[in-house]
Amino acid sequence: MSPFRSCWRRSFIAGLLAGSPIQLGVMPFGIVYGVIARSLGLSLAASQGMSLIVFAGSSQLMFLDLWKEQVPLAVLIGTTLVVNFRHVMYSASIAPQLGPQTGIRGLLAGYLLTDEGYGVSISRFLSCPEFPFDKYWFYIGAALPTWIVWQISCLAGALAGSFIPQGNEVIAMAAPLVFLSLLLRVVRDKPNIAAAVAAGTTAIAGAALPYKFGFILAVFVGVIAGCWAKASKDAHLGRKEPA
Amino acid sequence: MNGYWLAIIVVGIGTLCLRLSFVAGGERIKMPIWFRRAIAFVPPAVLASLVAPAFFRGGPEQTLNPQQALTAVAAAFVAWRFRSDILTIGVGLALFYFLGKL
Repeated sequence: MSPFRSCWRRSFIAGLLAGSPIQLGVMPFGIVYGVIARSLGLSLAASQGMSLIVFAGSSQLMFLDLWKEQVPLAVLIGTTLVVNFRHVMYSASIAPQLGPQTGIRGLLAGYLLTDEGYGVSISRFLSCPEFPFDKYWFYIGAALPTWIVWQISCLAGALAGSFIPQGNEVIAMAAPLVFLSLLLRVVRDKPNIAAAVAAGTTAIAGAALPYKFGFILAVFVGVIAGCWAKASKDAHLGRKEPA
Repeated sequence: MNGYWLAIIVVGIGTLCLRLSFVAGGERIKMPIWFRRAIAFVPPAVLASLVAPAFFRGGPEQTLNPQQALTAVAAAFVAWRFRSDILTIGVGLALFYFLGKL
């Protein structure tokens, strides 16, 4: 057996082990997603289809919510893509670690890129100057559990959801609660609080506007408020360079 | 259903492109600083825009639904204090359900 072949196997397994513990946190989102998708009347194929084609948890939940509100298609697509923009940052950060990838290898690495897969891999790479494994295969191993667990939990949620009557009021609260939970994780400093408060107030005020213009406006207002708050904070702290 | 599959395919391809942007050995695209900072505020803005109308209905009646508002406040407290998604969702759904029974 050539040294290279044994190396990729060990790297892959090391990645799997590193990427597994975090999955307990992925499961509830998948199940909630599946349940909500079914309660909106989507078929099993439709709900699982999104999990396979898009494979991006928080944006899938937002997609469902916007879909339910019958937001114009362009807004639906645009918002979901902008929410997924952080993957560009991940890509930029992990690419130099993996080295240039082409063809199927590159496609696979890209498709599997998630918060979890990225987080686990980059923290390992950066904390070990003499990383003992093949970085590409370690990353694939680390990112794969998220894909597996996501697909299974979405499926489980969708199957469980078929037992719940459509349009159930209590289940309709599940998505806002997930978003609330995610929101409170993020709003831990003043600029983010400013963004959230500005966006939330605008969203309520503009709820009656046609074509969900209120939502779009709210996001813009929130982003501007956040940028302004951050600039004020930086100026107040005497920073010349953006932190 | 019309538009659903189109939307997810476009989003799927788009997201894949975002993920591949540097991994596929692409040229380093210089993103202006203001753009990067603005993008960072999109998640809290979108989340808040989705959460606020769901719990605090504006609209013509301008009435606050106590069942929703109380659930929101309680769930927010749980989320802030315990930082657990399962707990937040669980407590929120249970409270909403029981408040509805009153």
